Amino acid sequence: MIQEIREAVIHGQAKDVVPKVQQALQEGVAPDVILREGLIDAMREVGRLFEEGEFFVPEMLIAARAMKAALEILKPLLVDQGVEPLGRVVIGTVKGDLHDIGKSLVAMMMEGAGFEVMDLGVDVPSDKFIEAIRGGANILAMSALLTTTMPNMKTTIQAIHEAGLRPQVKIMVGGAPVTQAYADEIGADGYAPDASAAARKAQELLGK
Amino acid sequence: MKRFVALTCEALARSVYAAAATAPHTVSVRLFRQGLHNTPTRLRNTLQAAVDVIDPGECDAILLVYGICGTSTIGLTARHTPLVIPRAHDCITLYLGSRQRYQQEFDAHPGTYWYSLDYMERAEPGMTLGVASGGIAEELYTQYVEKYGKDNADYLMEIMGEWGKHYDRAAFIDMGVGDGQAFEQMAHEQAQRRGWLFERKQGDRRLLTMQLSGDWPEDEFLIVPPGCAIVQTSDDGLIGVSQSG
Repeated sequence: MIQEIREAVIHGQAKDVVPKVQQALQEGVAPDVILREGLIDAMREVGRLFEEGEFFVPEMLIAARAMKAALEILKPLLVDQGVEPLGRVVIGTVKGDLHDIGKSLVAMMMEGAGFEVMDLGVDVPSDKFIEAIRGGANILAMSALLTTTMPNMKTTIQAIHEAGLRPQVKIMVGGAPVTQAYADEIGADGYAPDASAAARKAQELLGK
Repeated sequence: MKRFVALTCEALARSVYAAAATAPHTVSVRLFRQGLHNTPTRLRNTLQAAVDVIDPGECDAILLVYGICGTSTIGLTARHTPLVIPRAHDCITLYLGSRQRYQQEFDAHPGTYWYSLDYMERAEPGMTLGVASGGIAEELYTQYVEKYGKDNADYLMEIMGEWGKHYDRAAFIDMGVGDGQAFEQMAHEQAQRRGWLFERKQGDRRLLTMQLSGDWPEDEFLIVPPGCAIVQTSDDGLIGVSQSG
């Protein structure tokens, strides 16, 4: 059954995933096993297929959608089971920037890797990110799709410094015009060129 | 009198021709397809190849009449002849005449869809700005249904269409060259269909004129000496030069 869940996630069959997860639970499979071996493992495979050029953005989106449908069922059960997420991520597209898709894909890939993700959406001002860090997020992931809005990543990092919160959060940045060099220049901890790499980078930053 | 070669985008064609026609120098204009910016690597490779075929001594400077254009111009390297590029994010700065004016517009209305005569008259099939047609979306939807099933196709179209929800203004920039009335009307109609505010903006060829006239103040233009490459910076100057290339 786990194998079937995994396959359905990889192929983006959201409608099939839900009954399969329910069936697995009825058969007594532990929620964390379904999460690890069914969902996280499937999304890792999706990431691999994307990096090898076999999957493109639509395939990733529908796989992530299927994963999310399954995760919705598992979430309350995982809480009951006392399963801790890999980390708590706050993610958003920076102030002035209205691009959504890439950031949402990163959010879904991170969820698929076992993180708890708070997606603040687009056009997010520094103080909203800061609020989320105060609320316990230990990874901040910022996206900018325009060179016009990229400076707002730098502004946000400065604001986090000023709020005295910099030591307690790992900061990662991404988006089409963003490079590793730019990430280094503005003092981010990590950069990832795509959604799959972003999920891996987040784990790396937390040493997991 | 100096000789310049101006490499520019179709989106600026009429304005660059106008500036070249009245420049105090001899300016040869070479146009490149506007769709190239969708793939910054392709635009970068195209421009570098165009720089590389210019012979030593053919001109005094190569004018890159482009912005950063999604990092397309980052990494471009001057060979034997200096490159001159405006400190601009993209063509909107060049249309509006200064990056301060673009910033003001951007801050006031980040969700602006920009239109111009050049951009629209030279639109390529599949381009998203201005004249994206319903036909393209339908074709994509059919493909998605075949590949991923109707349920997923509906989801993908919804996600991919979300960008439109964040826009609230259409702005047609009139550069004062050519008759753009029909295109302005088209932009207006698209804005009405989408429920966006419509505004007509007067363009300003100031930066273009300065670039083609050899008037390159440091705060508005970057001069890339031979052997150096353009790099992105995180300060207000947007771009700088690197020796490493």
